[in-house]
Amino acid sequence: MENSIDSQLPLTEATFLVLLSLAAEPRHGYAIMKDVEALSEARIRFSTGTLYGVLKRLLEQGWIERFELENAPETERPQKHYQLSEYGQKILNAEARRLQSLVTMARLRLQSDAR
Amino acid sequence: MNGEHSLYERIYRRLLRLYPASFQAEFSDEMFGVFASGLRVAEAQGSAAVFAFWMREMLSLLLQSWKERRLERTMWLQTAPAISPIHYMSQYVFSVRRCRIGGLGISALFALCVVVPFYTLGLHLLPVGYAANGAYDPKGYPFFQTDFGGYVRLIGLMVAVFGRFLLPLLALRILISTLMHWHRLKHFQRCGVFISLLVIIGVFAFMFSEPGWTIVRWYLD
Repeated sequence: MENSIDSQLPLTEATFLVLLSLAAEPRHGYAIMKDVEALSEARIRFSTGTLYGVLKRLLEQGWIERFELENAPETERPQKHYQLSEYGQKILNAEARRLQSLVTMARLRLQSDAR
Repeated sequence: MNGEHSLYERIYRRLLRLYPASFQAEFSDEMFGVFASGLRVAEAQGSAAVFAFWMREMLSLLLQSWKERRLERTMWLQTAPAISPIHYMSQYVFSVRRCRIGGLGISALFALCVVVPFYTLGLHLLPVGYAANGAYDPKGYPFFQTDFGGYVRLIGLMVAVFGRFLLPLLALRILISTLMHWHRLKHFQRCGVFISLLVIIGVFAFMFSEPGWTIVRWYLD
């Protein structure tokens, strides 16, 4: 299992940010788009087409799941929400660990170079 | 949503049809909803924001729909080789990427329909002794003539000599693969398979019936 997770890494920045956005709570498409924009400090702004290309890929890989809100208001069209799957959560944790170790390594090297 | 859509929304809704049908069925309503939300936010910021938003969305839609179509095609080629367009084979054998007929494409099965008439003709020619006697037939007539009939005989003979046992095995492989992927075929593709099988069986039945023999003998004489 660990091997199969490692083989999926590294993630693209877009994939990582979408997974990160869903780590906090389930969201619908537009909310993911806005959250990714906020997470990346407006550096990454998904268009609708790009976002759904990424979501489709993540659904196919089983990293996220889609569901309809049961208590959605009757007047509104039922919105599809997305949430991290268990496997997606493991992928996200593994990628975060990988990035963390990279940052730690970079800091150590930069500190030693500075001395 | 008040049911009345702006021109931008109507155009976007129409352009969503550029995506493959399966993608549309799954995501087009959601995508339209997200686009409409984004458009409302842009409209509140002024016409420049709407223009920028519109351009970004259009370019992305065109690019992404092309990517999705390409991806779907690749998936199709990987999972249904026998009924997929022949350019799947071209990666290994020859480059006939442009040889597509409409959306159906020339599949391995349909290619078989083209090869089978030559194969059956070659099977008729073999007993006559063309292959054994080289360039001339037993009656002394030149076999390899540079006319249409000469080329047809040459191709038929080559197919029969080199593919005598290999071609039936290849045909069997193609048929098994087609049956294995039967559930994935769309209606018109199933029709294509039936037509191909009819052509193949029909050619064999005709060429090895009395009229077929008579025509070949008459042609050779």
